[in-house]
Amino acid sequence: MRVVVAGTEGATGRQLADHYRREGASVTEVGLRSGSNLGLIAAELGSQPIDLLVLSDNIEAPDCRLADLSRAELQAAFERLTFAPFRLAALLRPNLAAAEGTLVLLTRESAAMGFRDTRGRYLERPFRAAAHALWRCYSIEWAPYAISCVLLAIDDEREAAEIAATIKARTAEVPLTLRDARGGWLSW
Amino acid sequence: MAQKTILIAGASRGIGREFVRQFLASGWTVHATARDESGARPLREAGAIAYRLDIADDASIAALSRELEGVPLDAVIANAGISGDLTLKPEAISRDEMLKVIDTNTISPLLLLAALKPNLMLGTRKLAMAMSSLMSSISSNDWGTQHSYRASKTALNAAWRSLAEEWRPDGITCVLLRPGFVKTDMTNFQGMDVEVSVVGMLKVVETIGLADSGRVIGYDGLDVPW
Repeated sequence: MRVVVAGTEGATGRQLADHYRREGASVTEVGLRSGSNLGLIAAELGSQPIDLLVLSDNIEAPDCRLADLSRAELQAAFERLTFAPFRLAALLRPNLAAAEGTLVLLTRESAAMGFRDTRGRYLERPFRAAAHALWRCYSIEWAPYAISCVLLAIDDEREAAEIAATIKARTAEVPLTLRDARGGWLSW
Repeated sequence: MAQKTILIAGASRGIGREFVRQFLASGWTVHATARDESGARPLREAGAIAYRLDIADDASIAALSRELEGVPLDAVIANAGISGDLTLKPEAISRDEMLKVIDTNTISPLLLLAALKPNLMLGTRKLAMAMSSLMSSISSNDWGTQHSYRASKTALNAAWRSLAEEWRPDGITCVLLRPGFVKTDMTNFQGMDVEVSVVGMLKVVETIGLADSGRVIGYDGLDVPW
């Protein structure tokens, strides 16, 4: 099994990479720091089929008031949490299609509309929510390529093995829904 | 009773222009913005107080804020928005393309409302509004496409939920309006007449209060499902 884990700067990404490695998969780790050249990352991965692509970002944006935020900060949050996963997935679609692979985005419950916590309310929540919208599109548009799309809201203490088991169990849903780490349904 | 005052940002054509006409006809004092003088002049001629504003330009927002210093506003509608290129497949969507849409549709309304909060605090109704869309609804999406536009409106929904919670102690009602599928240049002039949509949205504006803060309400009075 060929696995790519993007976002291994964070604990969850690192732990998942280690988990799949222990399971015998061939694992490529990809950093997604701000300014990463996504085209170069995709080019380095070549045309090899990818069975599983997991995108993870453990960033915890601070709780800011709107008045304290700048356009540049909001734009940076968009680039990191919305565009980077969207773009990397688009670049690697052919690799996923070649393996009829699975595309996974790990997110947070705090990005759901009903969540009342104030953490990351402007610098994280809207842009993770935008990524949710895009992942729903992918789950529909890429079904003809037999690419499965999964969207899991996890907290940072969740065990990698549990996440991996939920990923395995959730591959058949078109269009996808938002799930927690145990596979339980969550409202958008 | 003191006259109610509203600012419509993005009023030179389409839904924004119709908002100006109907709010004036309903007896509101209307402040309206357009990107240039050719858009502002007809607004003045219609009876609005017109300003120039490029909602995606921080200096332009700051200039508007200075012009409006001390002016009470009962309501603000950040109407300006773009669709982006709806035909692009995901692999053809560049960072600049998606950012342009997010910047105009998500980030700019937030920053405009932040700049005009002092004006809302001087007003009575305290309504902070922007324009959402059925495309913002993830649960309603069974066909995909329109990626940048969808992402921008879903992000706006989430951001406005956060804004509703932050500004609730200030008594400011934060609501997004859904116009429906309206004949404008953004829909290639397909859909319902703009007058019908705005009649419905005006009714919503006239009736909402703090208990409605955080909702996305359509011209038909119905909530957009998340």
